[in-house]
Amino acid sequence: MAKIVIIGAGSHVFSSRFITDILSFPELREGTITLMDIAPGPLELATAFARRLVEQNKFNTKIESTTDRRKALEGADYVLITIKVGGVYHLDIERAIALKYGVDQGDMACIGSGGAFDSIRHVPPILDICHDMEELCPNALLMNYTNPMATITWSINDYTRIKNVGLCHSVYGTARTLARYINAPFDEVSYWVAGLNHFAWFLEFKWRGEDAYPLLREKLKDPAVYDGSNPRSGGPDIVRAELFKTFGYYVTESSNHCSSYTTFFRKKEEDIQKYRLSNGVKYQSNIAGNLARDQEQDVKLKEKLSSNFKFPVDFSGEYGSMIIHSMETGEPSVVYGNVKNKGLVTNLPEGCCVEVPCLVDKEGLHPCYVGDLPPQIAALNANNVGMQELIVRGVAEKDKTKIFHSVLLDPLSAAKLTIDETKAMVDEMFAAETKYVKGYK
Amino acid sequence: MAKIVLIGAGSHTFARHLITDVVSYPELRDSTITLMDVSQEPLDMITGFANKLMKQNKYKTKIEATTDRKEALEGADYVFTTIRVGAHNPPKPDSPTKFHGVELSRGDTINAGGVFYAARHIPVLLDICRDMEKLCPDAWLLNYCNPMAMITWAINDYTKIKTVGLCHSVQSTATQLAKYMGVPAEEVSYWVAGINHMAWFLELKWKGKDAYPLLREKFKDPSVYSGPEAHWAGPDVVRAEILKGFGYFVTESSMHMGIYVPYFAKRPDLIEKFKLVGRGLAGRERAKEDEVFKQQIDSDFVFPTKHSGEYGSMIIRSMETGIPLRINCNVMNRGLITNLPQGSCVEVPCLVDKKGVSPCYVGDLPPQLAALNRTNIAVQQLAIQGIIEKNKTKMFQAVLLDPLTSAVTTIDETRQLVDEMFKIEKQYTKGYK
Repeated sequence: MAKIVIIGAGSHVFSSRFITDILSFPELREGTITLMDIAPGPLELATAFARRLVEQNKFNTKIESTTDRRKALEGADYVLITIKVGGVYHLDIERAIALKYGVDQGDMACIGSGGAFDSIRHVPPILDICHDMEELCPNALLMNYTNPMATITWSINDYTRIKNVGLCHSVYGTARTLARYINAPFDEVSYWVAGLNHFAWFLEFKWRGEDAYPLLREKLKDPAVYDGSNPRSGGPDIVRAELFKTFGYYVTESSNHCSSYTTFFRKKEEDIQKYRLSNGVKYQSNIAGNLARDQEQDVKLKEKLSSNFKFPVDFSGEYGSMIIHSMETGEPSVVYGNVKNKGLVTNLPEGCCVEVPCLVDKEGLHPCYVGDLPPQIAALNANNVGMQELIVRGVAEKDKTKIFHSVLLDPLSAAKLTIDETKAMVDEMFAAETKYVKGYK
Repeated sequence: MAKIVLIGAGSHTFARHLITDVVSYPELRDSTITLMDVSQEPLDMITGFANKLMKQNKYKTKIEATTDRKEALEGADYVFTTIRVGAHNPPKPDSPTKFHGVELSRGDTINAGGVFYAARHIPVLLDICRDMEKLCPDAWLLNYCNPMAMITWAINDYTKIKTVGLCHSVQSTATQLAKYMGVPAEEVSYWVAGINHMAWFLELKWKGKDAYPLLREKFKDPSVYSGPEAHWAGPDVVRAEILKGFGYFVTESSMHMGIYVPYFAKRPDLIEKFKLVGRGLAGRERAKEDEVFKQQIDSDFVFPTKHSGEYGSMIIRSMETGIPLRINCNVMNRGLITNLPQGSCVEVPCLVDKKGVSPCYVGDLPPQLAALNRTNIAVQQLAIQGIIEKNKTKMFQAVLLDPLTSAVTTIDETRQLVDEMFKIEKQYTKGYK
């Protein structure tokens, strides 16, 4: 009977989905789900949801709840992390400073100075969790959902002994979008994707076993399919369509994210408008909106809990529960995971973090060999790997110079700034970010 | 009794040095030096020089001259290439390859300029190699043509000829650094690795001790590196900035380095600020040099016999005599620099002896330097594939990946730039699709 631990369970939008997913598999209903969060309020809410779901369906699942991380980890088989240090404000400081220097990376969560400082905030607590795991559940599998995915996964691989995989919904999310673009039912498309997290490439995209790229190219000749003018198609996706037309492959993660991973789209405000992207100011001013949204979600869940609302037990498609199911039952599944590049993507640096197809079975998670990416897309990825490597080392060594180097290597920052300006910007961020940069030299 | 062939011998500055250097070694004076050029007049001039030098010094070295490449290559042991295909036309102020105030067609290494420079040179170099495969399959090709990395890479991937790419940037930078530090050049030692024109002084020593602290101290006074006479190519501000930003000194001049990375030349005000408008890009007065050289040959002028310091003759000497030599060469990365792509072209220290050129293992570069090198290698890789396959899309993608260009233009503007380049280089890009 597996013990499944969720660290950061207070993010109930995520944890309730994950709990539901687990319980959607009959084979997993006998286990223990341990919810852990440092904030008692949100933890209570998520716990109430889990207990209600189990009660309503008369499952035998044991639900535990604690604010004590070490207690939660004791004897765990699977540990899921979904934490956010700094809450909705977490990128405000960097974003304001970057904007002042003329670098507009939008949400900037995984890239450039934002990615660097978000790693500074997130890598140390996650390594702490891993060190606890080395003591309390050394054979457990860690599934991390926290961003910046690549630098966190890379750090766990290089600085701890914990088996782990980084999980993100961007691959199957994009597959759904592409199926919609070509008017194919999602269960009829298949794909082979590899690259970096948020920056992986559909090397193959098929419909009923046939290459669907010619059809997609045909469909994308009509900008209304992807420019957001047709609400049924979804929001504006111009950047990814441009990358597809130019480099030949569709990329995972949204146009807004992807736009800040290369130099082509956000150098000037007019370009940001032209590609219908959100600018940094919009992210900055949306914090109140995000807070309101979070509160609204809390209120909705509380209302449901105080009524007779019957919570559905539907599987969401998220990989976490699939992995547990395959490892517990031996029924194989394929997930996209972020893992250490040990000869997998042969033209990206060894040892970096890549997102590749993984076979999961009783023996665990087995990344598949991919080989060379087409050189033009490997080159785009490699730019980001350079930046990530310096972040990983900079955080591990608390080395300001390496963090500065990482921002120097960020493609968009480098396209906008001189070396001196980059230095000044990073120095300003270090000065503003007092809480999480203690000991940096 | 080596047969040494110079293809492009009409480039007489290089040829004079090489000929003088070879015969400066007594053990190489029984060689045959075969001068080859497609143009008769420059060939006659350099042949006149060579014959006079042998006569003046009573050397027995045999001098041959021909415009027939195949005849020249027959039975060669060492083949030097110093050719230049296509004239250099400086862009005009209303140039269609200028975007947001930045001229993007320049360069002999990467950028749109370098990519199309490669399109002109790689096919010719591969033709020479095909001839060599038939006429002198065991000869070493010692190439001096740019773009060095792309040419060396293409020769290695598409021919069976043994080759190394030679450039004077490593040793001339070492001499320059000695000058900046105010110490004798012969007391400076170094360990340099990276890619051609962007290799890094991983170690810089004076009398066996780390000289970086001294260099940093000297560079606190910007007049040391920022004056117009600081370096032969003009002010050396970019390299000083790179040293401050990335921690290591780089091998090619500021004029070059400034356009390999995005930090310096992306806006007109920055080009001004980093002093990238200098004499480094001005054309030399070739006609005047020719005139002086011709007079020297025809008069009783005595040509000096001193070694120039260029590597070419030193390599031949070490291969012929077995006296070991360490020089930086451009070779394929086969496990040499472990954090640059396998199979790309790297510039690393090499041992030269009777066995030939044997590259030394370097290991990982500091990650910030490797990352800069990788951005350039990506451009090279796409350009080589584009040239071999005559594929316009890959040429376009090569320029899209160029760090400076992509800091200036959008995807659509890059497409315009590349279309313009194809127009300018129409003669050399026939059959591209």
